[in-house]
Amino acid sequence: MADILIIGYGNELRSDDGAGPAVARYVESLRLPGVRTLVLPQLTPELAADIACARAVIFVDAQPAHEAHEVQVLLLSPSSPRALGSHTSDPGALLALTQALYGRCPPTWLVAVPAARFDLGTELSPLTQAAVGQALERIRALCASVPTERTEA
Amino acid sequence: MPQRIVIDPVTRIEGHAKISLFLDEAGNVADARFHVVEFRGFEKFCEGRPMWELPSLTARICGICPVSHLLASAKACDAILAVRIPPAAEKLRRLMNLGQIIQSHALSFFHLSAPDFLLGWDKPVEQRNLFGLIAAQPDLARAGIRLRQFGQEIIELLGGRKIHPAWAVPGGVREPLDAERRDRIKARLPEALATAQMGLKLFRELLQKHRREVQVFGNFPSLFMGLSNDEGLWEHYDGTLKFVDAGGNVIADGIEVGRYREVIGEAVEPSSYLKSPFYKPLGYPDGIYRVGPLARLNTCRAIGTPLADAELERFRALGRGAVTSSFLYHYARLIEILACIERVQAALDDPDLLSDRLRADAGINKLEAVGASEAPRGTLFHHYQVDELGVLRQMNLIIATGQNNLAMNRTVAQIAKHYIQGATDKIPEPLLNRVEHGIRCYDPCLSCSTHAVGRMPLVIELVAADGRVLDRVVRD
Repeated sequence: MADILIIGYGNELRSDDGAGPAVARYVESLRLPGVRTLVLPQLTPELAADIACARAVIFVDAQPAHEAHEVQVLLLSPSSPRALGSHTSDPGALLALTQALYGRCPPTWLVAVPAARFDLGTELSPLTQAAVGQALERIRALCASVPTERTEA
Repeated sequence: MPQRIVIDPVTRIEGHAKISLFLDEAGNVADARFHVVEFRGFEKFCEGRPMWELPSLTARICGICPVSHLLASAKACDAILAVRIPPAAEKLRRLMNLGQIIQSHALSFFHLSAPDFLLGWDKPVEQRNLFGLIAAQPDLARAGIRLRQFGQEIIELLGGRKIHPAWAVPGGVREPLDAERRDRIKARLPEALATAQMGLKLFRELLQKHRREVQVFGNFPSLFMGLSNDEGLWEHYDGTLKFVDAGGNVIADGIEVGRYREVIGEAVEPSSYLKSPFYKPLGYPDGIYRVGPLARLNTCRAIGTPLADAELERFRALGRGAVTSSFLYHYARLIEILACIERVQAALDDPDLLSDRLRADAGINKLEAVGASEAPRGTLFHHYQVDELGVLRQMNLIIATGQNNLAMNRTVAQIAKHYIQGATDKIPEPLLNRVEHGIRCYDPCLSCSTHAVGRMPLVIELVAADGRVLDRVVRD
C-alpha cells in the first residue's frame, strides 16, 4: 500500500513561515501508519517522483493571517507549469510536473496554517501555535478519508 | 551611431539578469554586458557573527548549491582553528560534494538546458521548456529527475536534509554515516550510472547537429582555472590553484588558495553587482579566465576513474590544447556526473567512511584564513578575518559565476555578432534564444554571486551609440 505523503515546507528561520515544517514534525512524531513526512525549506522538481508514488499528498504551508484566520483545507489540482522553477515551486505546478512525467497525480490537499509574522526568528506566534493543533486534526481527518488503494485526483 | 540591444529577462538560470548589446556607429555589434541586478550583501551582514555560525549561515546564500558554501566555509574555519580534520570527516565532506555536483549538474543539463538543444532553438518559448521536454522525451526527463534526486539523497543521508544541511562544521562534520544509509546510496548507483551514460550518448549525437553552436557559443581563447592535487587528477574539494591557457599550457600551478590575491584581482563594473575577477599577471580585462566543469577538465591531467577518463579522451579531441567552446560546458558537466558517480562508488567501499572520529577541537589559532572548494559552477573562495574571539571582522567571497563574468560577456558578444549581420534596430528572435542559451552554458547562479530577495527580471536591450534604447525585449 502506498503511503500518504505529508510535505511541510517553509523557512524555519522566518518565524511563522516555519508552520508547515512544525506541523509535519508533529505528524512525524505521531508515527501514523502509512504516513510519510517530509520537512523542506522549499519545493523542488524532484519531489514529483515522491508524489507520483504516494496514495495521497498533503502540503502544509503558512498563509498570511490577513487572508484567513483559521486553518484552511484546499483540494489541489495541477496548475500552470510556469510557476515551476529550479529553486522553488508551488504545489500546483509540482502536481502538473508529476502528471506530465508519470501520467498520474494522487489526490492532493493544501493545509494552510494562518501566520502572523514572517520576520527573523525561530518561534511561532501565539496565533500560529494555536493553529498547529487545528491543522493536525484536519490532517488526521484527511488521512482517514483517503482510500487504502491508490486513486487519481 | 553606436547602439545597444538589451535582453531581459534571461530565463532558466539561477536568478534573473539583463543583457545589453552595444552597437557601433555602423550598427554592428561592438560589445555586450551581462548585468546582474540582484544584490544580497552576505559579505557585509556576516560581519560581527561568530565564526562557528558561518558554515550554516553562508550555506543560506543558495538553495541549489548550499553544500558548496558549507564546505568552503568549514574549510576556512578549519584553517582558523589550525586543525587537520580527521580523515573520515574529509572523506564524508568529499562524498557530500560529489552528491552536490551530481544534483546541480543534473538540474542544469536535463531541466534547464536540454529543452533548447533537444526541442530546437526556435521552438516557441511556451514549448521550449521542461514540460516540452517531457512531452518529447519522457524517459529522459524522468531519468534526469531521478538523477537529481539521487544527488540530493546523498546530501540528505549525510546531512539530515537536502537543502541547507548544517552538517559540516569547523573541525569536521557533525554526524557519521552508518551502513544502512551507505547501502541506500550504493543501491541507486547503477541507475545513476545508466542515466549519466544515456546523457553522454545523447550529447555526443547532438554535437553533430550543433557544430555551429560549438563554434559561436563562447568559443574563444582564455585562461582556465581549477583546483589541482599532487597527482594532477580532477579535484573537487581541496588542492592548489592551477591555470592553463587556451593551448593547454600550464601558466601557474601549485598556488596555495590562501595566496589567491596574488593571482586573482576583482574588478567592479558600475552596471552590475557581479564582480569581474581576472588573472592579475595579465591585468583587467585581458586576464579573463573561466572556471567550472570546462575549466576543471582543461586543468586536470586525468580524472582518475576509468569511464570518465575514456570520455575525457573523446572530449579533449574537440580542442587543440584546451577545449575552448563554452557550449561544451554541457559535455563537461555530463563527464563530471560520470566521474562523481565513479568516485561515489569508490568512496562507499572505504571502511573508514563509517568511522565516528569526525571532529577536531581547537580554539582560535589564526586570525585570517581562506577556504576553497570546487562548487558545481567553479572554484569557490571564502576568505575570513576574525578577532581573538573568532568574531568575523571581514569576509570576501569569490564565487564561480563571478569568475565567469568576463567570459559570459564575451560569449554574448560573440553570439550577437554572429546573428546580427548589418545594421539593425530590432532584436531578432533567433538571437534572443541563443543569447539566453549562451549564458545558460555557464549555468550561472546569481543568488550566489551577488550575495536579492525574490525574482529579478532580465531584459535584452539594443542600445545605440548615443545611449538610445532601440529595442527592448522583456521575458517573464
